[in-house]
Amino acid sequence: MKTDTAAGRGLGSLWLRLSGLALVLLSLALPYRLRWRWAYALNFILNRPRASGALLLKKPSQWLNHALLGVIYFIGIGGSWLAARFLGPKRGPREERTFWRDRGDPGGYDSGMDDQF
Amino acid sequence: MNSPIERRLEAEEVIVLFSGGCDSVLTALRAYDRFQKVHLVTFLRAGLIHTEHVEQQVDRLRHFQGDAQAYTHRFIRTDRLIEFLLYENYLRNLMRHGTRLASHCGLCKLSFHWRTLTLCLEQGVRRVWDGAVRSAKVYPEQNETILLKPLGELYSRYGIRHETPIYEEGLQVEDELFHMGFHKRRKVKGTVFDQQLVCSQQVLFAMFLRWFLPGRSFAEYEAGLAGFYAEKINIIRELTDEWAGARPDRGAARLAAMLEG
Repeated sequence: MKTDTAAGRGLGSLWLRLSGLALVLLSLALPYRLRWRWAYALNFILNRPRASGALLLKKPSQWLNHALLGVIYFIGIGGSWLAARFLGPKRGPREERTFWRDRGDPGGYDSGMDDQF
Repeated sequence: MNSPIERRLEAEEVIVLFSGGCDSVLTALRAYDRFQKVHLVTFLRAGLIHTEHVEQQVDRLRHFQGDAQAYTHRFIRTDRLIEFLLYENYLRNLMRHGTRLASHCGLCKLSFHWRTLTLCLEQGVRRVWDGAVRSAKVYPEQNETILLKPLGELYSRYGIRHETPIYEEGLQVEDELFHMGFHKRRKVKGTVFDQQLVCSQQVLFAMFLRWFLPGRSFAEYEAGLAGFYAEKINIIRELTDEWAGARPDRGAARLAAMLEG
């Protein structure tokens, strides 16, 4: 495996990568406010574990909610992402291996954007 | 500290993106020596905490310069802009760019720059400085390949110069502040004396790097993110053109609805 970081070797690398991926995928599954709140909680847990343990006992429903969202992600959006990642066309440079054709002119990006407003 | 007479002032004003950290402070100090008016702007969104640190640093800067009018300062929220950058065409982008969508720090800073651009256009300011440093090039907004060069081109499209005056001094910033007398100790970054805005979600970017970097060389990391951010810049340019009136036929409401005070 090509790497220029110390995290790129051995079992430690596998754990670092997979745990990082799990948290990245979960964050991608969350809407805006919830994503920030979840990250705030994660930051809290990592930096103040004793205080966060007390919070967990007080509000376990928040944690259940996070777990549920994670499951939804993995069977939904996560599955789609994995399909695109591994079942897509394998020809051409790595960055171009996707389900989607190159959109070409950036002027095409606004299609459907009005729907959001 | 320079007196007003000693300052070699340019007949211009500048907006400095200001977090209160060491790099921002040194940038603000340099800006005071160069420009007649220095506007410090701190951007906020959900999860950015300790705004009181920023206010304390602005007060310290004014005191250090011996000039109560040395800096103007304001907070501006960018929740709507970053939400747009995070979620526009979400599924399509997820398929196309995968976990690059989780490079939160870059998208957050991109929203800051987008708001800065609109602020410049609103107020007629033609110069923007920020405290980006090469030593932090893992962050998209401090990396020339990923965002700095495209950002410079974006600003220049509207007649604005974006500069990073301390880019090559990243590792010497603390020493410089110490020798200037702004800090009483050499080591400040990462200590309790590092009084700046704190992002409570930086863990997300750390996890992104933990997942994304090990399987790639740094050049691949840069190239991959550069492609992702190039698309975001294109969208920013398009919406800003509409808003700024370059394409009035398309309507200017989309960006206007996302600009907060």
